[in-house]
Amino acid sequence: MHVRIESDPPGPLAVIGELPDARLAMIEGLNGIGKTLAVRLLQLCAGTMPYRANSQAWASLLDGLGVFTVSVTGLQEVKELVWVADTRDWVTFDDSQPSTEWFREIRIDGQPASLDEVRSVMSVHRIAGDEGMIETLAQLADTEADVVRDWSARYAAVGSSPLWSLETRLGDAQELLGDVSVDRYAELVASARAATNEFNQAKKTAKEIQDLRDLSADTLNLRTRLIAVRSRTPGLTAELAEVDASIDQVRREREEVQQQFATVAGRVARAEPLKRELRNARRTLNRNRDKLSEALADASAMASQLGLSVERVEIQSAIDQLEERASVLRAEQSELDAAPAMRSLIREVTGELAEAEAKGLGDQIAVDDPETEVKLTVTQTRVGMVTRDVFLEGQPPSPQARDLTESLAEVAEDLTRSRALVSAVEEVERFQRLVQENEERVARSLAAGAGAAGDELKALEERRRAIDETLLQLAARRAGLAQRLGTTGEGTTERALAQQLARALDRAGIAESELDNEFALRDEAATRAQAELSRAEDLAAGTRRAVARIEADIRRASATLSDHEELGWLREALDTSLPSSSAVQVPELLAYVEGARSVLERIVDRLGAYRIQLAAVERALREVGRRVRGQVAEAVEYVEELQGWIGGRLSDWFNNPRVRHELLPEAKGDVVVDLSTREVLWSESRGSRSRPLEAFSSGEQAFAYTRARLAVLDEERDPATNRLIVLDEFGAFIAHDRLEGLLAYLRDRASHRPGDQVLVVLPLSSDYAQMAATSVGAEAKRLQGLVDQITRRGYAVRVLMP
Amino acid sequence: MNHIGEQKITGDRVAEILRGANRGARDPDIDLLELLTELGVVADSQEVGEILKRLVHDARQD
Repeated sequence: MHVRIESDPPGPLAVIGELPDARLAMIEGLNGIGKTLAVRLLQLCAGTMPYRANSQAWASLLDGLGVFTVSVTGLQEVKELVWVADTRDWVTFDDSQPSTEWFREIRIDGQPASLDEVRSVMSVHRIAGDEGMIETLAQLADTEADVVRDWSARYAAVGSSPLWSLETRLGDAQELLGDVSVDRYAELVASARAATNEFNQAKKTAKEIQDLRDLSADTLNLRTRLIAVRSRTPGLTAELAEVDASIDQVRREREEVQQQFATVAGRVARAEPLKRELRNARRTLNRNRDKLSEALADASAMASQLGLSVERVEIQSAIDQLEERASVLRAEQSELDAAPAMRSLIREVTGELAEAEAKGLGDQIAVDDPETEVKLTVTQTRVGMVTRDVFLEGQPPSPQARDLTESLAEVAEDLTRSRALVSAVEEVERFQRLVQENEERVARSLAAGAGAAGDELKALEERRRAIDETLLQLAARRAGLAQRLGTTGEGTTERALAQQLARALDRAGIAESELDNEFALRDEAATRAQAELSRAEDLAAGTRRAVARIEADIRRASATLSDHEELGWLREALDTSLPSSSAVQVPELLAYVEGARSVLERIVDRLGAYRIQLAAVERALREVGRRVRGQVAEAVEYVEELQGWIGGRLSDWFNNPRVRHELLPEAKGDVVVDLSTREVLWSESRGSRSRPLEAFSSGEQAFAYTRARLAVLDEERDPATNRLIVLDEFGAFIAHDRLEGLLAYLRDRASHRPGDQVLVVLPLSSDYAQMAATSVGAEAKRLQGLVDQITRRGYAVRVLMP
Repeated sequence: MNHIGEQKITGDRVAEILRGANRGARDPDIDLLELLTELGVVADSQEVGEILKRLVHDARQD
């Protein structure tokens, strides 16, 4: 094989332009002319990586060589191999091994070819003399670490890799399915249940405390009324007695007048019809006057109850004020307690919804909240509203709302009474008109036939009329007083109130002296209980909303899993489907979604673990390299396994018959490499033996080790048709006498390996000009030829076997 | 041999290393390495879907 290298390095890098075509040759040259670089460049062209990826030498090559062309002729089976590349392009590749893409051109006999095709035609092996067994083994581990790192960077990198593509799709799927879990759902449902129970308990407690508060309030009210009655009773009683006395007095006067009238009227002997008319007229008058008296007493009593007089204008004014007051109270009530208004609204709407259900619209969506994404059908909406109605029905109003309700009831009652009073006044007015008419009828009778007694009768009648008027006024006044004292009389009312108060105090378990204080305490407790009830209600409502939201999430996730085009792969792989009926319950939907999510999580975990494993394996391989070099060992995952694995590979290498022959000729049975102790173990007839790895890197063993490495190449399966084996850097590590032995070995080997070309590269170690000057004949001519080569190109080639 | 073939060679080498580190039960995960090698450097959406289906199958078998 004749190798030519054309390049124009942009920097200080140098590379020799030619390698000789000889079965065995030796190059001796000055340092820095690019002998080793030429060999390594040829290794790259043949598809192997001779550099550590992050080494300074590799970085120097990438920047310093640039465009180059390598051609090889003198091959077996093909005529020519040509490579063209620019090392600056290689910065963009992160492969651990060269690939076809690294080269701008690869040709075999003028035809484009791949690097793999080159590999089958030609291989280049460099055996470095400065590289002992320790470093060779350590570099083996380092190289494997590089392979793992490069593969990881290509296939498992975050941001752009096949693994990342899988993770991205999985992440998208997980996002589509949301983060609802069975545990979270169960937790929320349990919270909602607990909050509802707490609310029910708070409601019960609030009612009990409110009842106690109301009991004390009623008792307090009784006592207030009793005190009021007791404070006003003495004056009213005296006034009533005075009125009663006046009534008795006026009635007696009326009796007298009636007697006198009857006497005078009896003396009137005129026509019987006239007397009958007068009698009838007076009877009618008396009857209507009695009714007027009753109506006036009723109206007075009613007016007294309302604190009004029996005056239409005053009563109407009171009614107007009461109606305005009722309107204000109703507005305040709506603000403090929306339950009655809400219940009214709910009953109205649920009726409409029930009609819609009857028309077959029950499964139609009636509520669609974009914020919570809650969707409710007509039936679900109606059921929910009915539930709310029942809930509101059981809600006790706040103390303030209760007070308002009571005030409103009182106003309503006063309004009813006032309107009844208007009717009573109308009745009074009607009887007043009748009495007036009757009076006029009596007057007409008297005028028609009384004769001489007429004036006396008229006078008596006038007097009786005045008395009746007085009686009316007294009766009305008495009715008002009686009303103010109580319907059954003042003594009974006070006693009854006192008895009621005693019973109420007993029921409430309160001493009368403690009533005010106890009411204040119970009122405060009721307020606190009401606040606690509100808090519990808010909590219960909040947890119910949370459950509704999570159930909406579950339904949405289930629908996504069933329908979303991005999840087709997941549906197919799961090979399960959810019944399409809308009646499927949330737990079933959740189990469906959770099953898929669980699978996704396991895959994500697996992918994540894989990336970690790759990094750990790379670290472990580098740690194996450090241990082989005898550096401080660290505990690293996988290191024991990989140390054993690499040790096994080395053991296999030592068990190669040629290696055993060169390095351990006395060994019997298996040779074992123990990297943990950095020893080679074997048996001989004299017993078990061991030797540190360092012992294979010096002196006689270094020479034997080199022969062993060549022997391994001889054992290579399916070797390339053309192999270039370069023994580099041997001058400094093998003594001169050993070098002659090595060359003899290579000559012998070459006769058995026609496809191999061996090149020994040495530093220039002799002064050939001096030697030529002191030599004669052919030897002087040969030495002068070497001097000329070195002068011309910096190195000399000695062909040992053409 | 083309570039994909060369990547297959690298994948086989990494698989051999992972087998050397094997501690059993997908530690390390050689099956996944083979799936990723199969997926190729430029992951096609359909290929990703097929690999995901196989991963789902594995997950359900576990």
